[in-house]
Amino acid sequence: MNGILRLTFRYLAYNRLKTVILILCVSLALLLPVLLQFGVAQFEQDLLARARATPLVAGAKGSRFDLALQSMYFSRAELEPTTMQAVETIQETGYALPIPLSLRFTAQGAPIVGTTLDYFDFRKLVVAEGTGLRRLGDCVIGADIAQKQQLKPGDRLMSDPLNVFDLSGNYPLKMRVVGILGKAGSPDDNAVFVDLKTEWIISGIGHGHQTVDSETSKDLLLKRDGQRVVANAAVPQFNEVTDENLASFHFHGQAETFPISSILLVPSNEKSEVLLLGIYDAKNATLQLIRPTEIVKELLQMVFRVKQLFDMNTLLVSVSVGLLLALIFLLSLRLRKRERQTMFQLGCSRSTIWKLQLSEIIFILGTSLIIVLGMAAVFRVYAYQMMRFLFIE
Amino acid sequence: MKKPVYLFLVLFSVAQLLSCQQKTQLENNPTSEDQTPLVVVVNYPLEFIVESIAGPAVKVLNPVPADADPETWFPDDAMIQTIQQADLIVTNGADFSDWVKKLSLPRSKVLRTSLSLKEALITVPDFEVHSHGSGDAHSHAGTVSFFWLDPRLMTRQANAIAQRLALLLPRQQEEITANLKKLEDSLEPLNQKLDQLRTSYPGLQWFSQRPVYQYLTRRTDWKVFHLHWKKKTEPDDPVWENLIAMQEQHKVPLMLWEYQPEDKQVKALQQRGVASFVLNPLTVKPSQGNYLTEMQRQLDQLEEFLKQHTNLSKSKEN
Repeated sequence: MNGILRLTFRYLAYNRLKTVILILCVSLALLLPVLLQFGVAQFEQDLLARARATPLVAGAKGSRFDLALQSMYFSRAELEPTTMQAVETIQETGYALPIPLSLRFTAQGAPIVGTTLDYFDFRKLVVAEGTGLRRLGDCVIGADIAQKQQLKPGDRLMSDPLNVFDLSGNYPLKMRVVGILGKAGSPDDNAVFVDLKTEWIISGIGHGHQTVDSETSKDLLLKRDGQRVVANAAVPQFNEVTDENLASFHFHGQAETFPISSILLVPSNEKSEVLLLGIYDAKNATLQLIRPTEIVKELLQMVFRVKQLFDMNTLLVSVSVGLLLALIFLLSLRLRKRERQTMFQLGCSRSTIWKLQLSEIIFILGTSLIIVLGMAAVFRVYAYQMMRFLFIE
Repeated sequence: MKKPVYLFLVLFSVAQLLSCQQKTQLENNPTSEDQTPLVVVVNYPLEFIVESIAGPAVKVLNPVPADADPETWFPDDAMIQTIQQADLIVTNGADFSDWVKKLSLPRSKVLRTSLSLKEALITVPDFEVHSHGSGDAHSHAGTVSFFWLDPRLMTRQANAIAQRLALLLPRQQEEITANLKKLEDSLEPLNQKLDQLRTSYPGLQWFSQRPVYQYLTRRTDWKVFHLHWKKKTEPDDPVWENLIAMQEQHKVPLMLWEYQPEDKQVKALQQRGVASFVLNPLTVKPSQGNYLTEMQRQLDQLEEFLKQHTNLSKSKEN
């Protein structure tokens, strides 16, 4: 081995505490901006990927951000509901496949997504265990919620009441878990999917109760008129849909008037998309149509503004760390003045002595760089999991 | 000498590998020509329309067993899976089938034929009467779902189905159009018969058990009063009292039944001056013939019945 390198390693090994501290200082100063860059890039990628997979979203006029975020991420927001009539109207245009979403309720804290089977094809969600939705009262749950709640097909999951103090409010529904979705790496992993009609049962628009006929107890009857028998409020409602009571479930009113939160639109082609946007770009339109990519880009611009502040902070921290390191090296040189004199008296040239000092600095900086690159490579591979771990879980 | 042998072996192996790959690709991507699209229908009239228009180009599945009521029947798990995987689900709309309301279906594959008849639909104000919660008894309006009893509406249903089938089978578009024309022509005799009945027997009044014949009676300019009688349930005293009250008010001499009533019910009605006639709406496939022949036969019988009834009424008046 080269004499200079041997002496450098010997020195660094002898002063190992000092060496380790210096390497850590440099590594941490470099790592922060690198990780921030990767984190923001991953965040941007995640947001844009979901937005790009959602061509158009329709909903009642109001906050565009709430509409986009609730429709894509099932976040809690008080969206003004629209009705199924809006879905029918869009379907009649033939320009897009409308996928209605109803997002008012939760089960064990997880969002209940009332939708149709088209949603699963649209998001390319596959059932990993059990079956897909079959009938009223069924639910299919995301992989994460299944793991968290230790649920499997055949188990029951209760919906949460909107307000525990409101006795006249919606009754919780005991849902039958029929399937577990495969891990999708999206908000779908943490959602409970039910048929739109099941969601309407949770909200009280539909319900089931015991058969009311001529043989029903008089205590449960309000009126009898020929073969028509009118029940009173004492008739108990079913809180679970079973094969035995399924026939008794029914809805009140016309389905077109039933509420939904928003509509995902899958246009037939680009022209259809533009035509649809044109139809709803009117002052008197009751619906608003948004392109989620545009909303997400607006959100990202805000994030980037915050990141610019971070970048400035990082730059200042890096400069101060650099100055501190320079100070440490200068002080170290001063402390090692006698050592240099001894080497010179032993016949060592001045250039060799400076090479020795410089190789120590290069080794510390090089080692730090390798550590940063290694950690960056690991972060790049596991960026998604790390972001979830750091910001979601 | 060995070189050509090795070369042959290598080329043979490569050729085998390529042929295997091609075979696998073919197995994984069967052409759509190999698979006949499956079309699920909810009742016999829709089955008849789809079969008449698409012919053997589609597999038509009416999942309701012959002895079941298509309005209340519910499929088992295996059938639910078959229905969900169908290429097209043709429903009647207007809440005709209970299973359509209670099953999870892919909306993109569902064709609701009632949407093509929006302005022609008949809504009955007292379709359903009940009460919930602490509120008073109230009636719910409901849409009568037996559209096909008016052949003109059946033609419009057929048009909506043909449009959707043309999207499903773009190559058979011409055949579909030709078959639709044939179906429209074959429904013409039913139209003529109903026009004839309207001219010969104007302003007739009928009772019916429940809202079924509204489209037919609108076509013939007749009036129908539904009694809210439950299927296969024997009417009790209050029910008869209700009928008498309505008869005194409206002087209704006729009653339409969906199925053959019991003799004692027919006699009881006769005693109260009401003649019964069975007009099967054909929600289930008839044991003989098809929709056209069976409906034609029933309308001929109805004409005969009305002739007899009119003669009887005239002789009574004399």
